[in-house]
Amino acid sequence: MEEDLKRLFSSIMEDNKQRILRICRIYAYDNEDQKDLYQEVAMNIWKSLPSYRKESSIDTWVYRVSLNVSMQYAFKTQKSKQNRVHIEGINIHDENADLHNDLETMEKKKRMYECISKLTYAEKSLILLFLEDLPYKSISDVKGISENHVAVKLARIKKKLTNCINH
Amino acid sequence: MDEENLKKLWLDAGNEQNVKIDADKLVKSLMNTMSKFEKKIRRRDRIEITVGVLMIPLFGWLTFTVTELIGKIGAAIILINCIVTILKLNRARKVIVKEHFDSEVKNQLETSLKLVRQQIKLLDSVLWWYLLPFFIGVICLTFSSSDNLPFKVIYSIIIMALYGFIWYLNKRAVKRQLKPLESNMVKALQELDTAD
Repeated sequence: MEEDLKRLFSSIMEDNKQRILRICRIYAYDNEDQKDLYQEVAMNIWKSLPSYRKESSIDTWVYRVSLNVSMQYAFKTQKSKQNRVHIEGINIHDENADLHNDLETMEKKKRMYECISKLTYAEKSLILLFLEDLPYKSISDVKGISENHVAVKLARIKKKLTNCINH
Repeated sequence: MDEENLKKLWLDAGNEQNVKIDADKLVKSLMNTMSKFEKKIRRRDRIEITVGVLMIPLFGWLTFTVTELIGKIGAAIILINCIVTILKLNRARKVIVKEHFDSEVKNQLETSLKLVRQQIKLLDSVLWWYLLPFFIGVICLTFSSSDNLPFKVIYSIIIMALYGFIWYLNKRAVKRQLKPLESNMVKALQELDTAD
């Protein structure tokens, strides 16, 4: 049983490692906080795995855990460095982005992150699920609000984001 | 910028950092960390039980052996408050709402908000159910113990300052940590709830 859980956890982490990182980048601003948050997400995936009942797809489940942990992390205004947990087995490193991007693309990416950072916590969580290319039904499953609600809110947030990026 | 290009930019930007997972090491590390948390909780519970086991008989004994009435009252107040504190903390732990990070974001926010409000209630009221009864009990015992009035007064002032400081620390934790946390959660929930 434990071996099955370990195997499932390993496969979840391998399949979702970049996805989790993209979420952490939105809710934690510097590299140290990102790594700290990533570890917390990994820990909570591990803790929550025994209660995974397959009512939702594993991707939806991972998004829920990642978002819930990330939002809690962002809500705390004081993060005690003494309470940071050091977990081994996760290595986050920067690829050399300059080799792959022209200046214009780099500027657009920087602008995109700046504009996302100006959104509220709830808006961030909705837009990043949209940017992850999740259908509205899945976004609704993750958030716990109706599909209609998702559509209405996303229309406004997308407009806000694109206006910000284009100006 | 259209939506498809925005999504492409997002996924592309996310790949500028790479994550390498060593699954075996990660699982081992997580199991060690969880085990350390559990040991910490068991240690805390043992300390509380030990304090209770020592203080309750001690103040029970003082209640019967101290001759001055004011001393008896003081010892009895401390004895009762030890029992009340242990019961209150145990009860708080039992009714504590459990967070499930794999539940829907809105549900999890509502749960976390309940938890934070429970903590605020406990810390905000610490003067009444913890500090004041112990303070009154200690002062009563102090004034029953010796004829040295200057010592009693100085000792009482020190105790008052100490308890005042503990009260201030609790209030500060509520103001600086818990209230902003509560406010952020309320705002996020309101946004999810409004239909706009």
